[in-house]
Amino acid sequence: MPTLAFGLQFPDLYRREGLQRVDEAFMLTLRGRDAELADRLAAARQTLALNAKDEAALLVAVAPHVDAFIGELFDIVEPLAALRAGHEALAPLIRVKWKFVKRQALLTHPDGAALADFDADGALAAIEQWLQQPFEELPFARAILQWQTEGLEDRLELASRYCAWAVLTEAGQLRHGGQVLFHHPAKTDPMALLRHAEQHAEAQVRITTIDTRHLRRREGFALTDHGTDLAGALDEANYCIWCHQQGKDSCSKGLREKPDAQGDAPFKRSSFGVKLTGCPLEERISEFHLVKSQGHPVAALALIAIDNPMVAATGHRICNDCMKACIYQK
Amino acid sequence: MTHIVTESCIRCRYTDCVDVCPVDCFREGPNMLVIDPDECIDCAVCIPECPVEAIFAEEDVAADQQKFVELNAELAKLWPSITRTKPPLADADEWKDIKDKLGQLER
Repeated sequence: MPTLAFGLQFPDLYRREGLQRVDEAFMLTLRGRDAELADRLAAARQTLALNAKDEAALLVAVAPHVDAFIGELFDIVEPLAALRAGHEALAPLIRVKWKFVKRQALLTHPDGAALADFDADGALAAIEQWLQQPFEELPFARAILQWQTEGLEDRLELASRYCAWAVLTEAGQLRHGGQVLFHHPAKTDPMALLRHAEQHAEAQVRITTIDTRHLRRREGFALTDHGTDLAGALDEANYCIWCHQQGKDSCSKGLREKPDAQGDAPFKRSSFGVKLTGCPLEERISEFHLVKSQGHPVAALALIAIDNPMVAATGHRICNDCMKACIYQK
Repeated sequence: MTHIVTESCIRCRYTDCVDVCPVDCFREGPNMLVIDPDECIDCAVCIPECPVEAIFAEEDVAADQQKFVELNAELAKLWPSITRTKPPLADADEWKDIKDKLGQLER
């Protein structure tokens, strides 16, 4: 039978006494790595007196040590390091998406219609020549950071226009729609959720359909949403404002009205009258996004499991109460 | 509910807040910033960024600063968007500790 590190055995994972030994091993390794942090964690467990913000800060601080401990416990240090390296390798993609595409390209060229005459093919050819390879978004993102360092303004201006074209025009979305750099959130009109519906006539009958590009056929019991890859996951984790740090993580705790004279702040309601209570389990969504963005995937999973031990079964999609109550929805 | 830029910003306009705003809700005047209440999502990320502690949640605005709730809403309609941090006003450090600066506001 495969064994675990720290003198532990797999059966320990299925018994309370065994789990206590796992915890003792964790606290011992934490003390060896950061004694002050171990003291803070031990004190917090004993007093249970931390407020929500301090508790969140403590859990986030412990996260790298959870990753390291689990890696050692299961002898997966190297695969975890490779996964973390994967996070780091994608960092330029995330930085360029939010700092260049959103904060520069889309603000400088906000009007898709004005880009109708933009020579996108010519721009792409020039970009590929500069990249010295066919267009891929990660090398493109790395190149933009390099051009910024070198002050190559002419390249940056063309890249800026190309990015705006890719995000804002139909032709751009046809070419780049599935890519992280060029997929940006847009305001939703709750009264026109089916704006993309198409109408046509067949045998004098008016037929309204969803845009066929959005159709997802259900096959058996398989999910119609196949989830995302690492780049997509990091994209979402970095879209998050991590507003638990301000005590504003309404995804977890619910979106509330302004307090009245008595200090009462009832939950807001959506346009359809649904109370925006946030995650029914109050999962630490903002915290696990932050930890994931920092390259600690096991700790991010552990943060979810604190409030939802059944995440393996329920984690993909049960409700979307967190999304509806996200502070961006205000 | 929104967040409000108050008097301390006048003649300082450090703009550190601008870079962290996830929804680009700051508007730039000649010597002050304001927040567009229709755009602010109330996330409070900007509060700790301000070196002169000029930004408050609407419900936390002091009684003597209440006029800035209306001023933010009014001026946000007139002033252009600012989305990137820029150098503060040249004499910002000389004005950062001075109170009662409303008379210095340029529109």
